[in-house]
Order: sequence, then C-alpha cells, then structure tokens
Amino acid sequence: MAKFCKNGHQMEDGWDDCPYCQRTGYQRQRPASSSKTRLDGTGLSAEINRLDATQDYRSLSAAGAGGKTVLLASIHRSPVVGWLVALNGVQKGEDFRLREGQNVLGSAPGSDVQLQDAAISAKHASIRYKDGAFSLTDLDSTNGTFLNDSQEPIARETLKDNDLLRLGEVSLKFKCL
Amino acid sequence: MKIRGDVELANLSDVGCIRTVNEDYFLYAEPEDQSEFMRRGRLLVVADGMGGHQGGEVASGIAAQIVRNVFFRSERDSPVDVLAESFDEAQQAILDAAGSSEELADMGTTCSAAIVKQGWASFGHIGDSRIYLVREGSALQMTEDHTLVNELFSRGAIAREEIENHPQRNVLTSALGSLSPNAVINFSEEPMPLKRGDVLLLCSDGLHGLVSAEEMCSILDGGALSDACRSMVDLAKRRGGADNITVQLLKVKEEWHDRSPD
Repeated sequence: MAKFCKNGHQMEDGWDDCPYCQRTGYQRQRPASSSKTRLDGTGLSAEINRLDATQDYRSLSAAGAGGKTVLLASIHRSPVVGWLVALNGVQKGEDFRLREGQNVLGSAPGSDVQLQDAAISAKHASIRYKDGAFSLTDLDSTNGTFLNDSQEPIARETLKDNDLLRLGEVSLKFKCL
Repeated sequence: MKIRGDVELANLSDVGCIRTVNEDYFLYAEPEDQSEFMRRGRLLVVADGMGGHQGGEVASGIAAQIVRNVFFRSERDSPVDVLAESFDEAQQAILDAAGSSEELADMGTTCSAAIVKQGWASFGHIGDSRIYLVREGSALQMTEDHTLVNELFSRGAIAREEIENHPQRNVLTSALGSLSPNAVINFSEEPMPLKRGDVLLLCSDGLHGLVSAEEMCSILDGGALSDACRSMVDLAKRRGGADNITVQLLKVKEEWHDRSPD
C-alpha cells in the first residue's frame, strides 16, 4: 500500500519524514488579491524580433549550453549601467556588462558574469543596480568576496567607480556608467 | 494522507546527475471531508524553479503551496477559475518574495496544475513543464511549452527537427515571477472527461527533454504506477540527467461517467 505525506508526496516504507516537505517549508498565506497576470501575447513579437543573431547571442548560447532554464524577459531585461573588466587570469582584459537589476557573478554556465577560476563558486556574488546605486553582495561563496585592499571578506557593500573586486584568484575593475 | 480508491497516485522527484539542488517541486491534494471533496476535487501540481541565489527552489515551492492553499479555500465553483485565482496569487507571492530579498531576486518558476473533479479534468499552465493525458497507449500533450523555440517553430522560423537541439531551447517566454508584459498563462477551455484507465502525467522538462511521450506510454503499459515513475526517472538519468526530474502520475481506476466519454 503506497504511503503519502500531507502534501501528497509518495513515501518509501522506511521513511518517517517526507524529504520533499523538509526542503520547502513555505506556507505563506496572503489575502486574495485582484492582481491580473493573464495577459495576451501581443508584444511577444517585438521581444522576439529583438533577438537577432548578433545581439546578446553569447549570453543566449551560454544559457542554452549550460542546460539552465532562463527567461527571455531576463535576457533583455534592462539597459547596461556598468562594466567589470578582468585584470588577470585566463579572462584577462575581458569586459562584462552589468545591467539594471541583479547580475550574478559565478562559475556556473549562464551566469550574468561567468568567471573561469577554480576558486570561484557557481553563484559567488551579485551586483545589483537599483535607484542609482550599485550594491555588491556575497552569495555565501566558499572563498569569499573581497573589495579593494581589505583582507576581510564582505557580506554586502556599496560599489563606487574604479573599485577593485576579488573573487577567487580573479581581480575585476568596476566601472559605472 | 489518505487517497480515495477510485484513483492510483504515484510521484517522484530526483535531483538528476549534474545539479546539486533540486529546484523542482510538486504536490498532490484532496480534501478529507467528503462534501469538500465533491466540491473541490483533487489537485496535482508540478513546478520547476529557476534563477536567483537559491531562488529557484523557493519559487517552485511558493507556487505549488499557493496553488494548494487557493484550491482548499477558493469560493469559486469552476476549477479553471480556481486555477486562475491560484496562479494570480502565486505570481504575486513570488514577486513579493523576490522583491524582499537580494538572494531571491529574479527567481521564477514554471507551474503546471490539474484539478480532477467528478470525473472531469481542468488544467492551468505556464512555462515548459507539461501535462499529458495517456489514453489507450497514446499520449496527448495538454499543454504548449512557453519556450522561445516553440514560438520560433510556430512562426515557421525553425523546423521541428531543430527544436530539440536548438542552443536556446532553455529560454522561456513565460514563467511565474516574470514581470514581462508578454507573460501568458494558459487554462483549458473546457474540462476534459476522464475514463477508466486514463493516466494524467505531469512532469518537468528534466523528464520530457530526455524521454519521449512514446517511451512514457510504453513504460506505463502495465505494472504499478510507482514502478513507472522510477523507470521514467531512471531512463532520464541514464541519458545524462542534466536537469532535475519530476513526474507525477494519476490513474483512473473506476468509470466515472455513466456513458464512457468518446
């Protein structure tokens, strides 16, 4: 006789607790809202037509090659607001665009800023541009994120033009628009 | 949870062979109270999360739980209206959560849900998780993937053969959590009558990307449903298991309609 937990997950006979339920304990309730998300498809044409082969093709290919699902809207999400330039390592001299909103720095394929270094975590840090300010956040990386000359890893810091970031063995210069 | 004997249920979710985190989530619900059960029916959900730092697993969990909460408390009678209400709330909850935390920013999730009520099935769907109806050895896909390649194919820009290996096959055009004004959610226009032997199959792209509908049908041909879940997941893993793999199966064991639907 098959056994199921309170969320309808099938349980092995020997299990007392459901591993699926332990993973997600989200039980948030909110009042019924009138928000409408059912929208028609007009406008998708324009979004897709912007996807010509020359524009952002690299980031699209990287997303596909990594097998990671991404949203079309997030690829074209926003204008460029700054750059990072790698100062050393195999990507020395390469520049990375930073866009409005969140930019994830890491070694995972499909990262907004994909860095090749063994000491860099898959999702290592993020740079967020909001309301005219850049904030750098470490995403619980294994080896930490460092800013300028500090020997102490940061949790979250505000970035200013020409700041120097260090992730793993890679140093990056930050330039804002 | 006790499941009424007119159906057989089985489900399984696996992190796969490459990923370290399972961002898929799924659930099943049916009210214990008989009058509530007659009013609401039973619910199946599969969601595949993405984006943000740890955001993917949070987004899929939020979506499934909100859909479940609305299923149990909605005042609406029509299952499609219940699903529409639940998807709206899930969308808002994901956007709220994403806006409250740097680590959850930009998260999103697919969501495929079915309500089976008094022998009729209704569907709600966004993203590229799928719902199939397997009847007499054939699988009918009830959902259209909201993917860029599907959109390009429907416009005639690429051929069907190009879909599977297209470099942009993982790009979604719609997901819960997307602020894009072009995001769409699809709902079944009419409820579908189910008959004895039918199997509803909900799965994430970790399964349907590696196992064809024909293969799913042949695995379902006889044997226990829980064995079929395991066989499907194992087959996807033997083929690389690059993504998380989730499958949920519900088989109709009794004839619900006086006259068998055509």
